Amino acid sequence: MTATLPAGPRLERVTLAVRQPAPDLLRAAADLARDLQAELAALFVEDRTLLRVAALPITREIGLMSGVSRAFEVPDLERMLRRQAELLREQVAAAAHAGRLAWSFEVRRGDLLEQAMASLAPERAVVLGHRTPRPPAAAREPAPVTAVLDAADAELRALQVALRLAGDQPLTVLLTGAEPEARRAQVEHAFAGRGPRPRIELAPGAALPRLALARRARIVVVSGTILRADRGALAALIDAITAPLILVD
Amino acid sequence: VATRGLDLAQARRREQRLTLGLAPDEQTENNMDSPLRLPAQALYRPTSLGGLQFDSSTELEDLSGGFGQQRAREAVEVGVGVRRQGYNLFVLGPAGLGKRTLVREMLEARAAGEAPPPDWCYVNNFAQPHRPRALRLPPGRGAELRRDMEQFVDELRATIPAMFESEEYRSRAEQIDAQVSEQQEKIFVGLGQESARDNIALLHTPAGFSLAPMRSGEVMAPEEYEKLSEPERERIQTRMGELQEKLQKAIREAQRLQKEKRARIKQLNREMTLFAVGALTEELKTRYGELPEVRTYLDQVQADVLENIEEFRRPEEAQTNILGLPMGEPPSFRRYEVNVLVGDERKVPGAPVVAEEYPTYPNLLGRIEHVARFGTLMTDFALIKPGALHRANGGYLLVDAYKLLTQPYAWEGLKRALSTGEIRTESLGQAWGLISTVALEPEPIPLQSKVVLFGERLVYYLLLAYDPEFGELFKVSADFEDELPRDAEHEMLYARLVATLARREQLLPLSRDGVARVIEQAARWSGDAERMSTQLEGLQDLLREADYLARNAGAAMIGAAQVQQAVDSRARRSGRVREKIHEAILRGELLIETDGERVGRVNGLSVSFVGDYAFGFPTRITANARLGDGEVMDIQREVELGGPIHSKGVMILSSFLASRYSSDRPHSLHASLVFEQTYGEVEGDSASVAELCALLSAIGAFPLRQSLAVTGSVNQHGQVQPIGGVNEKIEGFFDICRARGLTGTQGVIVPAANAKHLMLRRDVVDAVAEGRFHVYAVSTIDDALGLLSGLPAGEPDDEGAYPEGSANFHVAARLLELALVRQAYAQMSIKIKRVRAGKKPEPKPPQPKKPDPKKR
Repeated sequence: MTATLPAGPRLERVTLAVRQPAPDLLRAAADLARDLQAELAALFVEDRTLLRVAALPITREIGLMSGVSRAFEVPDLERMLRRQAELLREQVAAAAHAGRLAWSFEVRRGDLLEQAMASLAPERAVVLGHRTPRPPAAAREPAPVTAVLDAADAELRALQVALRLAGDQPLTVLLTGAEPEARRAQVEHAFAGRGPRPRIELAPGAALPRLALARRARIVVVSGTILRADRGALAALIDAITAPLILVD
Repeated sequence: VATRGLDLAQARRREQRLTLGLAPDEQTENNMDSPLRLPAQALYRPTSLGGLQFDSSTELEDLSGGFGQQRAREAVEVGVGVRRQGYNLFVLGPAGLGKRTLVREMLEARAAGEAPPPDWCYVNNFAQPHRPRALRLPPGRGAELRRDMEQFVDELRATIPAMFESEEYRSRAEQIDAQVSEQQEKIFVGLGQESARDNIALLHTPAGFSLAPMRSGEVMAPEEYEKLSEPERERIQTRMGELQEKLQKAIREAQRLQKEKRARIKQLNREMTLFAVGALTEELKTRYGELPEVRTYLDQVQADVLENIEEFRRPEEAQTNILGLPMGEPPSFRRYEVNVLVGDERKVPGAPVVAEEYPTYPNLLGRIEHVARFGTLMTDFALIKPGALHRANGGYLLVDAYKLLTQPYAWEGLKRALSTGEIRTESLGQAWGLISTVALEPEPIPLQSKVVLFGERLVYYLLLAYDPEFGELFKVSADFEDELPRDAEHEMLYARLVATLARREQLLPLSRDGVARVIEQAARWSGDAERMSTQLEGLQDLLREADYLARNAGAAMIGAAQVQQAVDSRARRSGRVREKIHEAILRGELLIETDGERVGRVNGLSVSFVGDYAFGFPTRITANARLGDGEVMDIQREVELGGPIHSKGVMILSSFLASRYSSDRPHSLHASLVFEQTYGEVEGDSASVAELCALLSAIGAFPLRQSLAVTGSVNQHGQVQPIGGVNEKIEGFFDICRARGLTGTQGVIVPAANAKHLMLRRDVVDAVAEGRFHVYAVSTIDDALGLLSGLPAGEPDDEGAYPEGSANFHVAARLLELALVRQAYAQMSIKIKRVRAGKKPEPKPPQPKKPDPKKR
């Protein structure tokens, strides 16, 4: 990590990868794209596993809110997926129009994480949300932006993205990976004279437990290298947090 | 039988005069020797300067409490002093007496020493917002409560969001969230692990969950499933069924946990908010500790804040938006406002004295305003506006009765407030069930006001007669005198009144003779030399105008000359119609003769009013007589141009005629009477003397002098009764005569009872003093008849016969003649009928003797 932060991160594209329309994720992605003058890309992933479940003759769907058991068929699922994809496309178009952003929309069939990681590349970010529906939660309270950094090449860009997203709000930095103490001094130095100081926590060698702490964050920014090697950790993180997850590579 | 002409009448009169031993050509037209002639001194009563012991009005003390209105003052004292229901006041009397000024002065003096009334506020009723609550507070504390509540809301809007952003709140909320989330996860994770042990996957779907058989950690493909043996498939299905039931239970449990979390978060919010709100509320409750109603209200405010915390946390989100446009203030905070209905504008200490000049229903009882928001009319307790009754509550309300009665429903509204003892503010539409939209029903406010109505006597007596509630609600009447005796004491009081007004209006002082002339004018206004008008308005105007004239003349004081100029100036300014009528007479368009003699014709006198200016002028009254059946036809009445009192006068004179001249024989007369050249309604009986004289002249065929005009009413016994407007009538005829040239024979006959009313113009008095004009005061119709005809009226002897040649002799003779003629006609008619019927004529009746007019 360098001692000082450059004027701004260089990101060409912010990709929103979701299995269903998620307005909060879209807002986070659109805000980030607008801030960074990047292209807004939307990736709607039709879950392959879910399609296989629907193809089984004995499976049924139990409603999240009603608890009622009903038939779960492939045509119904595909129809629903098409409708959700169209809805997402409209939302992305509206957000891009409002933010005067270049945008694209793509539908792929497969696994969300695989597709998200496939979209991740240097100078690109991916915005991910939880993969599964949850019972309605109370409105989120104001919470900090949390950046999880692992001393890789993408660390600086992830930190800059987190800084932009935090603005005047609190920012928490979790340092994983090697030599966290030394990197802490560098981070503090980099933030000298830049308004509110971030809260810096060290999480050497124990990425997932520490990451789990980030579940109360408003937005979680993670340098993509952390998760490239550990897909299970990424899945666990996505399932654990309610906030948008932004992967920066 | 034919109507006799003038020549015949004159010839007969000459003959009669000879019979009486009078010179045939003697014209006693000026009647200078008549005892009925009034001397010039009787025509005007000057003020005795000896009674006015001052040189300038500046020496006189102010007159407080009105001019001689002791009875009215006592009534006002009783009306405002008795603090019982119904003891409201009706102040009656003609306009311009200074009723309002005097009563207001009395009330203000009394109110200054009374305790100020409480403040009244409307606040939101949190349980029933359409029924705002009324709060009573000590004087001045309404505005204080309003300020306190504004500050209360401001502090909450700052405190509550900060509190929710505090670390304490955040950590406690996260703790609840974490606990519930963990419990939820535990349920689903446990279920997932249980299903996984049976190779069944628990998966999220777009709308919920699903269970699917697994192989090697992956969901089984359909083809693989089909290859399973039947028992295996049945086992999987059975197990999936069991898990599904557990899943449904888990979902219900998760929802219950979610609900529990919401409740715990809400409780946390209440706890946190209560800390902030409670402190503020307690502070206010301490401040208003002696006011239990306010304390109760503050408790309700606190409860409402706790129920609506979110509006304080994110007020901008609570604000309604339509099409992106903010819809004004967030409505939630309006409900904590305090609408100070009474108490804000109070500037004078003591009880209020309020005069409502435009007493409409809403101006009296208050109104509920509405504001339009996107085509919808909205209202709430803050839009309740006070009426005059609110402002006067605890004090006095002054209202003009006529204005009140002419405003729709205002009288009914006032009566209802007084009878129920409370002010109920509601729109007219609501009160009368004319609208069905949701409206406010503010809590009524107890009414403790004295209401004082001002009006004419007629209004008072009409209300008393036709409104049964009026007497119960206005138990006290203060009747203002419109005139007072003109004695030395009252003249002096009047002088002080003049001095007071001059000082108050910053006019020049009046000299003694100036004050004396004003007093004389006050007598003239009252139409009575022995009384004075209490009219203040006219007096003030006279003084102002006299002041203007005196200043123009460079005088240091207002003297009699300036007062007289002002009087004359006012008469000239208002005299356009009078001049037109006089001009029409002088040009011969209105036929009035002021010399010569005519049968059946007399100059009557009328008074007209143009605004507050009255003037008199002569009117010709004529009569015709012929054979008939006793009817005197009033032509004015026949054409519906005669008022009821006038008709009564004509009927009285008809009765007089019959009883005096035909009491023992048929009254065989048909006479007609008319006011010539009048085109409007004639009312009053002041012409009945003139009418009777015209009628007697027509019957007796003797002429009447046209140089005289006559006014007065007559009763059935021939007595002349007083009338109104005598001064104006005399002056009206005098002006016509003077314009044509005073001959010394002209004059006016007035009732003797009116002599004390005479306050004639100086020029009239001077003309009388010089013998160029005359005023006669008569007591009987015979007096008038003698003056007008130049004949002695004639007294009946013991047998009821009048002296030959007298006026009454001619009348009686003529009526007897008519009776006999009628009798002859009747007999002839019977004879003709018998002949036509083929019967023999009856024996010839004895011929009637020649009538002897000496016998009745």
